[in-house]
Amino acid sequence: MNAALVRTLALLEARVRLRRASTLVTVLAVVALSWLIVCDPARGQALMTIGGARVRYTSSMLALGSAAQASLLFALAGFYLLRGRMLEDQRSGMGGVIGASALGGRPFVLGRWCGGVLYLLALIGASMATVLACHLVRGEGPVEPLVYLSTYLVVLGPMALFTAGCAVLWDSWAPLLGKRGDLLYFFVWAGQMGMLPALTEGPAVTTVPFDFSGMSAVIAALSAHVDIRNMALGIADFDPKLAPLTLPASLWRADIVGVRAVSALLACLPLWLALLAFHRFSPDRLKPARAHARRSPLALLNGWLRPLSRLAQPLFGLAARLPGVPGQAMAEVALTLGTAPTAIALLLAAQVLALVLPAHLLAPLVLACVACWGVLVSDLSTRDVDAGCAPMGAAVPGGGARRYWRQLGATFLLGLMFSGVAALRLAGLAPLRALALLSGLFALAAFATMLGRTSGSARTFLVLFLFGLYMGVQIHNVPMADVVGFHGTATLMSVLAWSAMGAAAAWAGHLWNRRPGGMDTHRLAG
Amino acid sequence: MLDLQNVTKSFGKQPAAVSDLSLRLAPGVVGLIGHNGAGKSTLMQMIATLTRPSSGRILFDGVDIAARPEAIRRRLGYLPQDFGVYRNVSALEFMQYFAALKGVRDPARIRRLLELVNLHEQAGRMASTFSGGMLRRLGIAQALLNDPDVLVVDEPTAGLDPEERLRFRNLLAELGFNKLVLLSTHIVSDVESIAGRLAIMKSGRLVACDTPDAILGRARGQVWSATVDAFEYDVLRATTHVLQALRQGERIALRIAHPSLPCAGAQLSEPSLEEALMAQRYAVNETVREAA
Repeated sequence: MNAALVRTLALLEARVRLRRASTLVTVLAVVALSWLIVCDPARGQALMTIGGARVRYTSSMLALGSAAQASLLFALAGFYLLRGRMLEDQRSGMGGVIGASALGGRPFVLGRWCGGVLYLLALIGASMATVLACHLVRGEGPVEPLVYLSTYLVVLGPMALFTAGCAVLWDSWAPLLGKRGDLLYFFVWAGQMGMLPALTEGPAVTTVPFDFSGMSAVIAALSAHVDIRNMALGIADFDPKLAPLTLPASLWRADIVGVRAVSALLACLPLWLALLAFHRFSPDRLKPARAHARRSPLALLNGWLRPLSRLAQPLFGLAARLPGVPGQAMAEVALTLGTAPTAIALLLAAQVLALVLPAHLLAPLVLACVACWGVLVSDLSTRDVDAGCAPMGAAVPGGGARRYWRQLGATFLLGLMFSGVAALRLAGLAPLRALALLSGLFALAAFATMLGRTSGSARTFLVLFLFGLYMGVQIHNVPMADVVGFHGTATLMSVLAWSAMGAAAAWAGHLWNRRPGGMDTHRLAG
Repeated sequence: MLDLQNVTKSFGKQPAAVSDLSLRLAPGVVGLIGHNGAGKSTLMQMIATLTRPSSGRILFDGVDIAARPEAIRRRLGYLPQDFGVYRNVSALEFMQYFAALKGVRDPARIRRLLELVNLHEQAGRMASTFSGGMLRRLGIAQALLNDPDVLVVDEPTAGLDPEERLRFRNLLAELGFNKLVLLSTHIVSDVESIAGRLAIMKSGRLVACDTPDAILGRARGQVWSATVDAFEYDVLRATTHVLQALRQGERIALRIAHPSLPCAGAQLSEPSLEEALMAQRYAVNETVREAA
């Protein structure tokens, strides 16, 4: 295989991805998240606590804690940032050119994978640089770059290889192209996280080679030095009366490093599968897959439920009668439901369940509704451009400026349609919870529209939404994490904070939309 | 109806896509002709209020549409050069969606327009499965939803087969009886039979705007036919503007644009509209060269 060719392809891939707006959004999110998790101990919270005592911010502690958090994020966000390049090739027609060229499939796939790994390493580098900056501000010991590098390599190395491998496999095998592949990967990621409790139970915690996230390695490394049963990693309260603990400079035993090396080898398995499954943009393999798309479970369901889309048609008439933004938002709602009859079925089911379920089951119902809604609306603000309808949609009354607000309105309106009945019942039982649901829906709608508009990709919101949803379910006692009132821990302050963040996001998206050239069609198309 | 006054559009530091263009347009079909990159699409996007002029004004019934875009949007139909449709949307739903966005309340209008473009029998079919010609027809139906006074269609016949092109041409000709139809193309045959006026653009500038007859009239006396050998052909290629060269055995039959007799034996010919337009373009080149 031609190493120079693979190198050229890899560098090109990394460059293409690094130049995207979604990368900038992700880096900013990583920087914000890093500053957030390395919280100031003076405020009574720390990145890691054990038995109520905080762990000192030494190099080994900050490296381990931040690497564990980065692994959670990048294993999910990294995949969605990487995937989709081959679909772009196919849409632009370059796929056929590549397929008809003398370029071999193996160097092509390998180049894409290497480019993906480079890209993830760049993001990880940005994350590490931010934590180093945090160390300079809040650290309690010297900055030891080698400790950071070794920790990041052991924890995040196999994760980067596996995530890039999955992204390439998902792109190379036709049945995994599209939204159902996106959802499948989320379950792969959630499955990895879900198996951790089983792996770390028992007297001796061991790391396993098929845990690519590195979390079992983190826990195994810590268990050799501290009692991990009462450990909290993330933004955790600590008892200031207890003496802070200090982790040793070197956490990594040879056996853990050995298992991680095996993990790194196993992480390349998706790459090998991708090399075997690569469609080479052949119409024999891509077109039938598209034709068979109706046979995927979701597409099949949409096909069966197609008659339900008639229920959305009266909304078009209503939309035409309503003036201004409300009318156009209603048109967006009608289009969203008309294209996804399954959503109409879920919507109807949600209303019935919200009426008949006992009160204690309303919160799980709300969570399910929000999850369905989030996935449904993730591409609402980008579908105009994706479908090539952006110029036509901007030449209607209100133009491109109103399009932004009508998409935001439609996203929020759909949220209300999904969980409105439940919210009304909650309002009678727990008003603050209902208020949290409303403010959470507004904030999420604002972020969905703003992120779609700024990054030009539906995946930016989808990945952050799924990550946030997972974290929100796991974190029980932090009011700010209870975005839609699922746990009932939201406070008036957290509700107001989310409302304010939603308003800020909506306004930021508006300003982005109004910037010089922001509504130009050549940019929309790009 | 539309009055473009010294319109210029620049993107960053690149040369202006449209440069100091002034033009007055009244109802009828106006063909906007120019090579790729001449600035046709940018001009149309400015008229469709998708982008604003960097300088100059576009007045619609006396109102500056950059300052008040709503003045034209309610009376505008726009079909871009490249467009697509949403997945899992039938032709009827696609029309219903745009009708709602444009505030068109009459559901019968959607049916009438689908009939007009001969898609009424395909109304329930997924629009993403349409052929290129059917998509174009759906696009024009979408543009006509609000019964616009100004219809802006950018390269509408690109990629269509001859039958579809003819059908499309006839439809636009009918619409041009009482609306302003601004139609951009680089295929002269698309507009020569239906356009009342032709606006010719080159490198962002308006080279000419006149009736097809007037453009033909200006080219009369400048288009020549000659049959030459290969050596003479090389000489003529360097000294004149060869419009067409056809090999006839050992010799080459030429059509040449030149203000005077280009070579011995050349005979004046009646120009076609395409040749007249090319001659016009060459004449502009000469003027620019002389000015330089």
